[in-house]
Amino acid sequence: MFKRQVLLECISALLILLFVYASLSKFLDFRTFYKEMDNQPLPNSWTPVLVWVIPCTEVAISVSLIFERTRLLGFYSSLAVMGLFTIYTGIVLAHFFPYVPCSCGGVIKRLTWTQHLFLNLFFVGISIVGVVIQSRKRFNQISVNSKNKNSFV
Amino acid sequence: MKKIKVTILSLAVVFSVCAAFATKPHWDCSTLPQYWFNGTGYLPVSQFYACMQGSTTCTYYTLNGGITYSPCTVGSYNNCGGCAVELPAPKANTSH
Repeated sequence: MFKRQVLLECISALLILLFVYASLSKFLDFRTFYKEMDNQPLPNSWTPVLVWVIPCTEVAISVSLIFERTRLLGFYSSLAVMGLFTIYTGIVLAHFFPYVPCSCGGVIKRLTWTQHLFLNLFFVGISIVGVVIQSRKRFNQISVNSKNKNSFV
Repeated sequence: MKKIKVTILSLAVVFSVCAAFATKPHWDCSTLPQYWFNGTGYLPVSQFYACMQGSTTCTYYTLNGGITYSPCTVGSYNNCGGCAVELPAPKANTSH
C-alpha cells in the first residue's frame, strides 16, 4: 500500500514536471509559441484561442494532480492530452503533413519526432498506471466507507 | 505519507519552474543560419533577402540540423529585397 502510494506520488510529480515546464516555457517565449502555432497545419483563426487554451490546460492538469480529490481527473486529462499529442506525432512521422514545425516549449523542441513519440508514449504509459492505481485506491476507500456505514446499521 | 507527498510534489514544481527559466531562450535567433519556406520545403535565404511588411513568418532557424524549423523573423520573404536598385539611365544631353 505504502509503495503504491509513493509510486502514485512519483507519477504525479513526473506529470506535473512535464506540464508545468511545458506551459511555463510557452508563456516565457510566447511570441515564438504564437508563431509556431500559426505554422501548424490548422486554421490560423484557431491560433489566438489555442495559444491560451493549451498552456492553461497544462497548468489546470498540474493543479488537479496535486490534490487528492481531483487527482483521478488529472490522470484522465493527462492521458487524453498526451494521447492526442502522441497521435499527432504519429501523423507527423507518417508524413501526413508536408511540413510541421515543432511547437513544444523549452528544450523539448530539440528532440526529433521519433524521440518525441517515445517521450509521449512514456507519459501515456505512466498516465495509464496512474489512472489504474488511483481508481483502485478510490474503489477501496468507497468500499471501506460503505462497510463502516453498514457496521453502524 | 503527507510529508513525502508534499516533498515530492514541491520538488517537481520548483524543478520545473527553474528548468523553464533556465532554458528560456536568451539569444537572438537571427544570428543563426536563416531559412525560408517556399511552400514545400525550407531553403537557405539568399544573400540579398529582405523581410517585407507582413504578418507571416519571414525566416526560420533550425537547432537540430533541419529536422524541425522554428520561426525567427516576421514579414513576407523577398528573395532580392536587398538588391541594389538599378538606377535610371541618365537623360540624353539636350544642351545646344
